[in-house]
Amino acid sequence: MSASEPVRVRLFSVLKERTGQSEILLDAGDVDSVGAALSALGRTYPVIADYRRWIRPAVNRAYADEDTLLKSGDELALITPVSGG
Amino acid sequence: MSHERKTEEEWVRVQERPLDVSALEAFLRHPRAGGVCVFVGTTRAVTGSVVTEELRYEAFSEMALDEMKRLAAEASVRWPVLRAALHHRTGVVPVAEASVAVGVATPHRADSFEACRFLIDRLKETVPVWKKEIYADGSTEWVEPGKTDQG
Repeated sequence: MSASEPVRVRLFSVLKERTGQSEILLDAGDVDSVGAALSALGRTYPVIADYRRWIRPAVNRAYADEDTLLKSGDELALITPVSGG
Repeated sequence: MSHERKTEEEWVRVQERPLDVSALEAFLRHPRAGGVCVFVGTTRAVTGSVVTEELRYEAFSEMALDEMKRLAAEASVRWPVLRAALHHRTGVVPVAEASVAVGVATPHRADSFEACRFLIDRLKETVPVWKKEIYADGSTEWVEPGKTDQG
């Protein structure tokens, strides 16, 4: 995987609806952890800052936390409270 | 659109078309099973005094399949699960139709009830699927358990 590949952020449900984005690409050099990515996203999209305490981040499709490190090519999904069933 | 993963012991699926509960139940049959327990969750029209016209489900399908497989594996550690299946419907689900179906086969019935209960309870907590209520008065709302608007 090339070093220039971005971190691919996936949005669903309320965050997708309120940001108008289902995917946001971040420069992997700028965000080395999930927490850093959430802070960067929160500055551009206030709704992500508002939801931050309820977001369960998932990295490469497995639940993670704000301390989880990100690298080039990772996929970060912002999982708001789920309501399947 | 549908996503699925199927082995001889496990069948997980996320699909837009109506769920086929008979196919799920047939999959669970096993010569060493003494009990098959299937739970079918259906969309409810009335919650308290609020009337729902329809529900729309959205899934992060690839991760939902991973999580459902993880839950099936977790159930197999706790109970002697011979087969497990978890299916979720996405998109518009009209009232009274099945939005989710989960089932297990175990040698004895008590384990099948417990494992099935575990699977549906955990699915509702961890599998990345979201429900939007479309109310009779035209308003809509994403259901967000545990979220309050208190800062």
